Amino acid sequence: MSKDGVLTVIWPDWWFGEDQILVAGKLNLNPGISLISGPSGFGKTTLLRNISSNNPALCSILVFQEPTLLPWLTLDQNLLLVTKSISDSEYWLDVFGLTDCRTLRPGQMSLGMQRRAAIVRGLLKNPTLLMLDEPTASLDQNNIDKLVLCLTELQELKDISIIVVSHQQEHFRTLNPDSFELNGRPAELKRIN
Amino acid sequence: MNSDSVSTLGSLAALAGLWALVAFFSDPLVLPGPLPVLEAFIKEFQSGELIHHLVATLKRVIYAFCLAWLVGGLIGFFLGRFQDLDRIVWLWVSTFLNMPALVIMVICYLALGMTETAAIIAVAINKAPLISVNLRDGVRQFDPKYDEFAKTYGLNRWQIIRYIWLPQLEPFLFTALRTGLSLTWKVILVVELLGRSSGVGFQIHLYFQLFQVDVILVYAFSFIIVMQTIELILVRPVEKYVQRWRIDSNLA
Repeated sequence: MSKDGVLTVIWPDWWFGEDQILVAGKLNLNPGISLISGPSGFGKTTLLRNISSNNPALCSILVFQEPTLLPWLTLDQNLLLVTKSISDSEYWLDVFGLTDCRTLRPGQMSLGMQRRAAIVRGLLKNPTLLMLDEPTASLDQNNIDKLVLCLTELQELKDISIIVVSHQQEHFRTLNPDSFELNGRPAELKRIN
Repeated sequence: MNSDSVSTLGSLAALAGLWALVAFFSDPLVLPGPLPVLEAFIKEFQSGELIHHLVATLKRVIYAFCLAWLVGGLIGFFLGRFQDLDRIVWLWVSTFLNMPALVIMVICYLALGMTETAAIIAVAINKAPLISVNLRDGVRQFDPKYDEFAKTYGLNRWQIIRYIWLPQLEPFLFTALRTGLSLTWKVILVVELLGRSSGVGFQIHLYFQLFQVDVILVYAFSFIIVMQTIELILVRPVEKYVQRWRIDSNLA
């Protein structure tokens, strides 16, 4: 990380059998949100996985599209599995509007709540880079608005780089993200603003 | 009294009535009715014989079942987790699964003598493959997304076992517990009949030679009651406790 808080991430060429899926690249990430869009099936999730596994010096957390909260634990128990700091947990639950859900199990929460809870869980690991894979997929407008509001607040509260992968760029316009597009065969990442 | 208790009692009363009816038209030496069996029960209970032999059998069931669980559970877990190992060892498990219990008992008695250890090992060897199969299937159905989560968040070995693996195995553990327990005690009776001087199996063999079917039924019913009691006061409450998250989620 440079002094101005810019993170540099790299990833190698990536092949699936004999087909090249992804072209190697490098990305400078400013604190705040970087939005990667592109058509479905062009390797956006693959790119995130590659960034996650090829930049060991960074503390990066990848929050999957499926929230992967453990359904047999309450939200509190899910969070305390990854942190010992109850105060951190309470703080981020409050920011993400989930304080009332602490004793609920994932099956008792909506998908929107589960997605936000998964982001809270990611934040509890104190990452320098947080990667969100399609965070608004399958959400209704109300939950999309809540999520975007939480991300706005997160940008103000924490000096962190966030990569959001989504094929629905319009959901994140209010966040003023640095925008990139992943397109082509093999897919290559290009800046679009 | 709730409706479940009423229907259970009604069902038991109907079964006793049916038994009494069939016994009425049968030879009392072959199928005694409920009353002679109750008299025999009181006699065996008062003499202390019933408790003595029930405890002897129950101890063997517990020892054999724990041993079968330990060995079978570990084998099943590793077979489910490592496919290369499964390819080699599965045939062995399958062979033992299909080997007649009687053969294993005879070999164990011949190898280790007519001892308590031989009896318990024989039953454990017979039942361990069943538990292995159950747990192997359970481990194979682990959801890889939870393993990925554990890796991403750096969960330690204990956390992975306690919070990721065990909850996913839970339905398979209870199936293995139920089927294993019910089959173990039936096999224990044969082991006792062949080579022990105590236990329900030994008593059934003894009263078979004396042609006293009423006492045979006393021992059979008594052990069924013991096993049902274990199911009611131990297995079901534990199962209900660990499965409460499913109920909570269904209520949402």
